[in-house]
Amino acid sequence: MAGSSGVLELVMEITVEFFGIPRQRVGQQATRLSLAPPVSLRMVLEELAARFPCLARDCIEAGELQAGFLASIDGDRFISDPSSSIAEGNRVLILSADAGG
Amino acid sequence: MDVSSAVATRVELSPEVLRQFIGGTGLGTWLMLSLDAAHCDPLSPQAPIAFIFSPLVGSPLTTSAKFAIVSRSPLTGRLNDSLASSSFALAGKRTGHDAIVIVGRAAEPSILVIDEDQVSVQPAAELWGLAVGDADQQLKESQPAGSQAIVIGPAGEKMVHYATLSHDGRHAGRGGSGAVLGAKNIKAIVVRGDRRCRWDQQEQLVELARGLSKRSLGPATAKYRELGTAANLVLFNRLHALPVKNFQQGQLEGVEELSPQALSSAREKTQTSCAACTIGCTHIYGIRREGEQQGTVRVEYESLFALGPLCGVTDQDHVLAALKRCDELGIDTISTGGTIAFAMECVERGILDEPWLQFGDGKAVLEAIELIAERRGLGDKLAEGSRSLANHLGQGSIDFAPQVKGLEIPGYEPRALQTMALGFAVGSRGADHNRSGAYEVDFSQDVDRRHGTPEAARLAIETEDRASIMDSLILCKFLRGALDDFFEETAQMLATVTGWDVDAEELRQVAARIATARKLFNIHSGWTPAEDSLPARFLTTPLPDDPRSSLTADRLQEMIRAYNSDRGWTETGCLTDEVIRQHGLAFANGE
Repeated sequence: MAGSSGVLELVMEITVEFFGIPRQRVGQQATRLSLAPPVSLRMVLEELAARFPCLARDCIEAGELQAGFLASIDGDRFISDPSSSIAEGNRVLILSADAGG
Repeated sequence: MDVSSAVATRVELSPEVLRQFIGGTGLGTWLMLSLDAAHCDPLSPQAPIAFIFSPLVGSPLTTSAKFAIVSRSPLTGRLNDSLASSSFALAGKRTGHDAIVIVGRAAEPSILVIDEDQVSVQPAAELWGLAVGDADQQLKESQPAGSQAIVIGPAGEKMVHYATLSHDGRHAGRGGSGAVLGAKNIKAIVVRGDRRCRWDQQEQLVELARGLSKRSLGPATAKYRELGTAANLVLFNRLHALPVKNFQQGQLEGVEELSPQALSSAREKTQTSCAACTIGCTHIYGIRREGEQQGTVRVEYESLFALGPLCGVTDQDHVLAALKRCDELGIDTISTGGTIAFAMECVERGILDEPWLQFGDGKAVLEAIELIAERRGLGDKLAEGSRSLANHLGQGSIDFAPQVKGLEIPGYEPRALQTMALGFAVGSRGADHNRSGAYEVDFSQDVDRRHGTPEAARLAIETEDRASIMDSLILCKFLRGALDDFFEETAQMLATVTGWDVDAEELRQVAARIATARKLFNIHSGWTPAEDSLPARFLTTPLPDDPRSSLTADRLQEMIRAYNSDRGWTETGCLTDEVIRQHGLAFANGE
């Protein structure tokens, strides 16, 4: 993608889906982020915190998920380590960790 | 209490027993072993059923107003325990007893009234046939102030094998304890008393309780408080982990209709708490029938999945009406939904000739519920659960009957959550999400949820042991996320209440002892290693709409062997004399 300086800037498109309390706070099911690679979970969380102050207040703290919340890559792998890599095309799920019924 | 003769005997429990088994389900297991309940037909007069309070009941510790019911299950033939939160626990503790054990059979429909040391069996024909809420209400009006009652519904009277016991809208749901009480001709147990508990360290207890209450209002419980457990539905659907149409799919279109957000926007909603609880997880929604407001119902994930997607139904009105009828009639929603869904698949396959019973038909679910509670027509077979129905129908239907040890599987697709699959297979009361929290392991970065490993067995045991301590103390499991160091903190609570010098290590030993005691009971009642498995469907067929979710019999067996070894049992799950003695259980073998 060409930026205003005319230099080619690479960005990755990441879709974030919300479940449980994160969905309740954000008020929507999903959002799209454009981030410069390499992308980590921390970058995703910092971007979300900037875009949704309610998440910064209740779910995310200093680029990490607060206790009680979890992320998943494409619904396959669960992660909480903020240094976890996110790849192009990944969908990141942000959810309430406790699944008990 | 022998309700045949109305004679009550007060028995002192030794301090050693109380310390070794604490209370709740732990003490209940000891009682069932001591009374040799494993060799009694659970619906016979001889069969004991115990109502057990716990050391923490009545204390200011949040969520501690709970009691346990323990007996041999008519549904599984194995040990069963179920828990409920309510004022019944508080009033029961004020009678001055740690447990109430009932045997016998009353000559006519009756209630059992326990007023501290005064015990009576009173005729109650006028209550027989009443729905749970109506019976509870009549008892509130007819009994002296301060009384609390636990009741069975019409299904318990008919000895439906998964009938519940209920109080104040809460239900001790699983395994059929309502049928055990119904078989004794007892509609309700009424308790009242004025005995006050004394706490060893009163000031520290108040301080501890204050801190715990504060933490119970934090982010770890926000989901329960703001959305309720129903929030699981949409996430599980996304993960292909939602059991749909008798476990034939992991996802269902339209399930968002049953999400808390959709329910809240479509109908009236109120929220409440159990007695002495600060979390407030109870979400109650208005019910409409044919457009008219028809009362309210408490909505939980397990009830919602079982009477909704498991039966292929996503229509709000029908699903909520089904939940309400189960509550009124006094039947376990998971076993009800599981058995109906199984019957629907049998119809689909041409094994059962009941063409009206089709997946996706909410009215058919409602009709089946009525038949079950009345044991009318097909309902008489459905009333004994999916395993019994499969044995009756034959034609290989046992391979897809959704049960382990006869207990219907709760709302976690085992192929998509394979540590939970292990938890279900080895569960002492059958497929169980409350005695094993192995799904917590699947929802972590420790494992690949679609590929179970023997290493996960240790983590599954950890969740069982935490559950065992919570169910013996008793504390609500929704509090577990608010505890930083589970065994340390629960040991501190127990020490503060009792004055015992109990520590985390001792509680770990108690948990291991209780697990072994439960296994010993099951061995006495006829358990064999072959019971620790899953229906063939889960071990031979990948999940059709997510084929990466695939589990084999070999992989499950490998996990089970690891589980048994980590427990200190033989690889097949049997107990050596040495292990039995090591846990102080030799008394149950007559030594």
